[in-house]
Amino acid sequence: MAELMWTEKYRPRSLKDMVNQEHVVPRLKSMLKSRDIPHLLFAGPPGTGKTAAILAFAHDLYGEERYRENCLELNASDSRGIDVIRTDVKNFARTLSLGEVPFKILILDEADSMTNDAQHALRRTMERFARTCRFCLICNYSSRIIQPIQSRCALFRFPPLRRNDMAGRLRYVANEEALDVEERGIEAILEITGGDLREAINTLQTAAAIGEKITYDSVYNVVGRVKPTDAVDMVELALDGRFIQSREKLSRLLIDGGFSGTDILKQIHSFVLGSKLEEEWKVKLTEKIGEADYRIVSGADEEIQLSALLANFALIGSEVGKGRDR
Amino acid sequence: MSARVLWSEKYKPKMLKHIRGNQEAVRKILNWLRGFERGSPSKRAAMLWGPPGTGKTVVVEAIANDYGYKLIETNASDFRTNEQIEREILRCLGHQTLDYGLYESKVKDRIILFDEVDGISGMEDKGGIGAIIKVIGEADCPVFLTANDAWNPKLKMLRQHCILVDFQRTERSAIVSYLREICGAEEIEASDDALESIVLNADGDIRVAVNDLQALTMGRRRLTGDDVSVYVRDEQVQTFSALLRFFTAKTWADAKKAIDESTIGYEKMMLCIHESLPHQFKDPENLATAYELLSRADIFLKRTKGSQAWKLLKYVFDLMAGIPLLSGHGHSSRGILFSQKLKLMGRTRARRRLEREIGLLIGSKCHVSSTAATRIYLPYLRVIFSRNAKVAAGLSEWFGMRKNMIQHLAGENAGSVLSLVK
Repeated sequence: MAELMWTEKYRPRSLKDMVNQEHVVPRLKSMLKSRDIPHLLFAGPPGTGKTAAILAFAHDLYGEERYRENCLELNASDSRGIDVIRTDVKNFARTLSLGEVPFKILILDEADSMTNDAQHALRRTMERFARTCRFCLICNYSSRIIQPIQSRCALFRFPPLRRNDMAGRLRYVANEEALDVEERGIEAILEITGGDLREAINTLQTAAAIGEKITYDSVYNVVGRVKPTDAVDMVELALDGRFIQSREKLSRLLIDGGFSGTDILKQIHSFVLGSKLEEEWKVKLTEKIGEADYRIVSGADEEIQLSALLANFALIGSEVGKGRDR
Repeated sequence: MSARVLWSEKYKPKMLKHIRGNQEAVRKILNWLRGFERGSPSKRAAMLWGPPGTGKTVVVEAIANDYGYKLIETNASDFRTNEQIEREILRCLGHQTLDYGLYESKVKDRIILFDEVDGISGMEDKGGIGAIIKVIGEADCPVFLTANDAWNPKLKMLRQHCILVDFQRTERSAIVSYLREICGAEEIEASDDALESIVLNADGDIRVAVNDLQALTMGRRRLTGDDVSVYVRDEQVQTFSALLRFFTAKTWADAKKAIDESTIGYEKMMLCIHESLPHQFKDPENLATAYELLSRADIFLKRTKGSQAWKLLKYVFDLMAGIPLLSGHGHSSRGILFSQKLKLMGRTRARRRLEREIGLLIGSKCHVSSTAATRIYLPYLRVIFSRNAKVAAGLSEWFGMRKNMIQHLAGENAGSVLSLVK
């Protein structure tokens, strides 16, 4: 059997296979029966089945053969600007759908990454092609979608998956793959990934690839490799005034570890919040972290910005030290 | 001796007779000055123009020295407006007002130098050019201007008031003998072919030649042709040379020039400065301040590139150049002036590009954007690829990954993964 990502291998092919989401699935099923849908807006945290739900719906609606030509998946954060999206949409939507369903479905993922202007342009496009094409917008936060679009869409909220449903799906996958999984192993995966099924299945696949048996420890071993846990040492070195060693760790995380600046900042942030420092210093540190995060998000160089952050940590560390001496 | 002293400053010729090359230009300037002394100059200012490092400024300084003028020197690129230029000259003249001090008194023992007038840029500096023309018209003393290109359109108005004196790149043999004298003074034993390769590489720019000589002889007393031929085109020498000039800059303008004229380019310069900062600043407060400047410069670089608004680039230089002006930096011992190993830069950049490509592949298979793919899937794939060659080979076929992508994800395990890929 060929290898593929289990998130794809076990992606539901039909609404029947959807895990949980009992607020969402029955509504979609009744739309399926009536063979008509409004524009859709799916909102919820990652790994809760938003893309899976619309793909399963499209499968059920068009059937396996027709599904590809009647369904287009675009990603707002990959397409460069609204003009590209508009051209793609136009090319897709101006031809009538094949088969008995009178409309096509256009899925626009990460729609909340679009600027307000782009969303307004999208709204006009949606109206223009409404006769031949239904839009399904997918986002993490519906509040980031402009009101005029929200009011034109049926909103579906996807809450994080429940523990039992997650565990059930993980056991199903483990069974299909003939894995040797301890109950504590499943517990560890749930502890770490919360209600994010995609993250959970990726963790399971990785743990299965590196060890015969999936145990509590083997799962945590995967997480240790996946998350930049070294960031804690790096911060402690900086606070201790050993900047050069701290920066050395940083470049190892970035270059050898392959972690992104955002990953590392996330670790730094949770370390600072949980540390024994006095709160007044924590406030100062988080302000610096936030600024570095903003600069990196705006496209600045990760290595320079994180080094600048560590320099600030070294400075604050020396002030904390002075405060103690007094 | 302290490595903080830049040889190109330390060994700058102080007198006209020490100047090598460009004798024709020097004669032309002296003739014009004689006209000024007699009270009948052809034009009231002289524009000295030519490539960097050909000795334009040095000649003016030597004339001031030889003939006993007081030199009032202004780097035009530091002062962008009319008022700033007038204020600066005022400052140099003491606290007289311009009208009664410079223009109407019989001040003939002064010369004024506006360095790098083509460094004045853009519309906002129109006032700056205007102020210079005003000074030329009203000052009762010789005015010198230097420029890299006299025919730059924005110097058109200025040109009408000037005699033009062009400076050629200095003869190679003249630069070689100059380097030889420096080696003598620094007690360095250098072979002829070593010095010749340095000069050849510097392409007529004396300052570059001297900086390279200093960078190449850091920490050694002998220099052979082999040392140079291996390193002369080596980026590391060029890097040291550029960093040396940058961190020893005494003025904001000098620091900007060090960035602008560095042969490694300003982006690499930025990374190298980043690499050197903790070796330059030991005090946490200064280090944090220096990093803040570098961080702001980096942001402006991204803004410049992102918007393709190249006029913003000057702020990148302005901010970076603030770093050597901060107090409390520098160490006299040669060993710790710079990080001993300047790491290979740009690694992260190449990596990000490749990861984005991998992200696009994953995205097309797993229904996520490329950025989400790198965030969500890459960390797991990296673990799988480095630990389980069989699964990795299967997955890379499914994704349709190229060899370099597999190597990137698998690291040391790449060999065994690749051997399993069909």
